[in-house]
Amino acid sequence: MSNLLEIKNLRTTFSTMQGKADAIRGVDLQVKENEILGIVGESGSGKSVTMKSVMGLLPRSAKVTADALIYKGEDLTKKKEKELRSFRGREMAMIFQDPMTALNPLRTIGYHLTEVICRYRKVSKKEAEAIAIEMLRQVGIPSPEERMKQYPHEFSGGMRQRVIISMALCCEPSLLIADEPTTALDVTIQAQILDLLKQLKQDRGMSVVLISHDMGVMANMCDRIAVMYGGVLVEEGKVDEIFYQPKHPYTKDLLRSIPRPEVTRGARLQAIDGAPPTLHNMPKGCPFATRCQYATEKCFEIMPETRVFSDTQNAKCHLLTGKEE
Amino acid sequence: MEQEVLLEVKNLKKYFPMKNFFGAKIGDLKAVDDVSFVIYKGETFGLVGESGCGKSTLGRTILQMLEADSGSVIFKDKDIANLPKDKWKELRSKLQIIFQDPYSALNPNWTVKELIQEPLKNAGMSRKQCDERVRELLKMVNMNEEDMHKFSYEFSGGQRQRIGIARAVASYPEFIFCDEPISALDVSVQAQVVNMLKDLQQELGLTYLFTAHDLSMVHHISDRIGVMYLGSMVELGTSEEVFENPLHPYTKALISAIPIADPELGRKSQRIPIQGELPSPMNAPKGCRFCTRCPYATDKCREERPEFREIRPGHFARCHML
Repeated sequence: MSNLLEIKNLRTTFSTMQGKADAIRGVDLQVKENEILGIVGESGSGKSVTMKSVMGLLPRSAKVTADALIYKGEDLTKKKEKELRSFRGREMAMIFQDPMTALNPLRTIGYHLTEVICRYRKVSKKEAEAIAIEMLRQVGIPSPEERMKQYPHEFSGGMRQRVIISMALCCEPSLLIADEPTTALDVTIQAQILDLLKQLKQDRGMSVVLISHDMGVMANMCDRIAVMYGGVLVEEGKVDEIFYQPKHPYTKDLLRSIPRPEVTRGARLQAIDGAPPTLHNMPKGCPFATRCQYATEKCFEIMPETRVFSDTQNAKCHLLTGKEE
Repeated sequence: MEQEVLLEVKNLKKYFPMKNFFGAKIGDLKAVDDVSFVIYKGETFGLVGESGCGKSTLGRTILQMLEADSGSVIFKDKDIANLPKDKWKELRSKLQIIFQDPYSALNPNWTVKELIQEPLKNAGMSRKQCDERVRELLKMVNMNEEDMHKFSYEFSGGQRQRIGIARAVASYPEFIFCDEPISALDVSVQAQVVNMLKDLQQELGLTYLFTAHDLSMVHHISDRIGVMYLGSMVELGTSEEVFENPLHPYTKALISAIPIADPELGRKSQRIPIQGELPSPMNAPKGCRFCTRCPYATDKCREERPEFREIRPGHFARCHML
């Protein structure tokens, strides 16, 4: 499978009152065609910032640099802001965690959808409305004609998330970035939305980047998983490789700390001591060094190189003995 | 073995009156509708259900943070739902709560010491005793003594939740309502807090009523589980029974919707689809609360509310089909 998006050495720095904060410290990542890539990590690990950097959605206080951001063979870092603007939304679309705040409460659902369609496609208002109704039908909203005239408060959480997905799909993007799309929803609704995303990916042949902290969601949705910690991509691999042969100590510890089917009920979970590092006191070397039970002096001082274990799996740790890249 | 009952909830009802624009009452929102169950001493009782099903309201009504409309809550042979105020005050310290959001549950103007000793002062402890107890509690939740004079904002989410736990166990309680204590924490920190709750339970002989969004975590730590739907308890049984042999159609759908953190098992498992969404509790269906989404619903389900019956020993469900 060829790469739809290739990120090379992405670095994002925020300038804040307390000084510079390195949110992303050299991330290399590929999104292949027609796959679901999961990015898993805790809050502050940089999983959302990575994708927002690519989309160019960060505030001005952020400085984004990358060796290359290759999308469908074109390097986005060499494009002008104006060219990028038509790129976003049309080619890549993003949906966010909270369906309650992503919609304007004073505008109808129809307005939200037709606005997007008119902006990116050369169609009349009538045609835009027809497209919008079709989109709503595709994401499973009953009687879309009437729903077009309603306001966001008349929709439930799950329905709002469906509306947001339909907005993102209006311009038929090749890449959909879903940033914790189900965190605010209940389990039964979560299952419905995840099924919808899977279905849409299959029908349209698009790629999905799914950002989440829920290992359960990851296991059931993704083809490949990238694990992030402290602004570094610590491990990457196929879903089975990550769950059954994790290499990086963080991935291993993370999987041990959650209740899984093979863990007997009531047994003690293996907690990871300490808390994730904050952006202002990030260790120079491996971000996990402060909590890693195997950490040596080298880990604190030097950022580990990527070690390759198979065509699909690699991890960043000094203690692993895979091939060097 | 006959277990000792610590707390018994009998036909508990909590309705919130709904008013129209002019303040006239137009109906009731039945947040907790005729719920009965017992909690045994030393166990963890898990409550699961979607948001808006009444889990928190039930817990808070048990703790008398909300006044019950009818029914009784019997804690150690005393009906605390109908106790005179002065009598209740003596028992207050025995029932405590741990809140979901450790960021907003702690007063940012207070030091850790002040936060933890508030319940002690209320119980009438002297200054010296308070001091000693605060030290003891900090040790219990794996925090340093030096942290005593810091403010809550100097700590991470996990540490703040530990302060919340120290506050809850300060006054030697017997029953703690853990209202989503791990939902606001990072994944890698959740296990720390869960382990701590388990340790304290053994050390101090505590009884928990536990709710959480993460159903696999509730399954993991609870001895028995109650499933709620639109204010009523639809199923109750041991953790194994409810998760492995669920009886009620809602429980079946709910449990099959939990994403399993194992790709192989996830591919094999069959999800039971559930149509539509939770109806608003303001116009809950007349018969069985679940009839609007249930694939097996009959006319009887729509008309008549099923009884809460014991289907297998210790395993209750509220469904006409069983």
